[in-house]
Amino acid sequence: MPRITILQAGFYDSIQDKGRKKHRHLGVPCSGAMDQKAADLANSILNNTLDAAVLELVLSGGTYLFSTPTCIAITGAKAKVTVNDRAVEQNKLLDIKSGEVLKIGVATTGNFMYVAIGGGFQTEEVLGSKSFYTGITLMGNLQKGHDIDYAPYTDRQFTKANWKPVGQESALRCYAGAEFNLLDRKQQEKLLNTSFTISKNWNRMAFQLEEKIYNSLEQLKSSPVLPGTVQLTANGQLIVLMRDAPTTGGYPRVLQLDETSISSVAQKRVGSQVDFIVL
Amino acid sequence: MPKHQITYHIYSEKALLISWEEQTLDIISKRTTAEHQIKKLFKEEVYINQGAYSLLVVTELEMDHHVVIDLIDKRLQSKKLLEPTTSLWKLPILYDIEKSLTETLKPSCDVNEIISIHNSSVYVVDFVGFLPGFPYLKGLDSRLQLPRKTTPALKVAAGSVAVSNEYCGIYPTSSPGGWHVLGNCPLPFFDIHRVAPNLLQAGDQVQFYAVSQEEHDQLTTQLETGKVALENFKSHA
Repeated sequence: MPRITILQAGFYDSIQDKGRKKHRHLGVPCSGAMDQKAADLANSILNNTLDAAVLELVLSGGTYLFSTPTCIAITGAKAKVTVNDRAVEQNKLLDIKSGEVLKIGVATTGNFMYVAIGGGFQTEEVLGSKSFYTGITLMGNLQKGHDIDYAPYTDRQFTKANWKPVGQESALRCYAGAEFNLLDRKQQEKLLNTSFTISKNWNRMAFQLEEKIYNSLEQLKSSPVLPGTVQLTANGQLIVLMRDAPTTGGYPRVLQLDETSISSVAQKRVGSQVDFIVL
Repeated sequence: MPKHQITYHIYSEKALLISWEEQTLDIISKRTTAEHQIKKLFKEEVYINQGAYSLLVVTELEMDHHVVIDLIDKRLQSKKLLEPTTSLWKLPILYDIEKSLTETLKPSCDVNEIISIHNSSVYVVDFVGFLPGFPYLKGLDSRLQLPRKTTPALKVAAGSVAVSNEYCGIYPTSSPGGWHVLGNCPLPFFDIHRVAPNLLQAGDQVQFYAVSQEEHDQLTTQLETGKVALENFKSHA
């Protein structure tokens, strides 16, 4: 099987796809690419199906050796990308020859980068998905020396379509959360009229926001939550749940981001601001 | 049959939240019946997970929420309750009670009393959530009901039986956690290699019995080598 070898791992490299949506009743998180729009773009450039597994890189990429010819596309956060030390463009189909080395540097915009490959990465599928999640898949992230299989090269990857990345907006579109109506008017106004700052506490499970809202609501009996659910904790902190979030939670759910906005918030860097707009 | 007090909330473009009033009786049967009916309605094209008094319906299909709510509501108001087929589990536990519990409960309850209170209840699996395979067990004696720890422990071991608020839960894998640990059960509660990865299902009954360190270690080995089958801990409720 063709494979890439991780010569140097990035900050947190993992294989991701559309996630394991069918096993929520077992308490299994969805997982999947944090920025689904960018992963879709990478797969579309290669004429892959949108559920093909991609390599997700967080903040900084690594160095990857290809065993056989293939084609790849790199999307998401911007970074310096080279193939055998030659600078290459993102958001484009790139031909790769046997023995070539891809190197991806530090993200200069956004947080998550994606490498799609012709036919997709072929790691073990567990509960209907290849997405890495510690405790479900063998590993949570890739390390130096790991090999990842990919599909053999075919020429069906070529497409004439000209795919372009979707722009990022600071406004996040939301549904009123299940407990939104339990907030008083002042709390609701504060939630919808404040520009919130992305705090340094973020990961694949959740993004915390800096500005607080006083909270007088009681904790909930454990209730279902989804990626994109915005919770208000007892001390007034807002937490935006992301792809690896648990399936239930006990904090009031004040907002729910729409699918596109979940991908948008994933690319917001520490210190940048977001606004919530209720649909 | 009295009309169920059910509310519907449009959760997102592809999700609908169905809630019952808190303290609704027979809530597990009501949720199970609703889940069954909704799956029939959508011909299995839905993913449903349960919380204490609600369930979340997620579909990949395009949905007109109001049409879907009408369809679901008609079914839920008219159908009889299903009684889920359930098992009774007798689970071994090596008690090793955390200070956070003993300190809070003394002097009214000493370690032996905590153990006897904990293993004299019959628990019912309310739902699974939080972590893969983590069961929320109803039926915890009010004397053992404590709020979650203010600072969660960085690592709670796999198999830890723990309590928080009105629930007793079991950590299937090691994880950070804020529940107060009472002891350890050697059974594998979640295994992706099983046809049904979760050991316990909503509606199952659970009783605990105390074992010694030696018995616990022996069971761990016997379970790992297949000398003792999981079926041995289960009977029909």
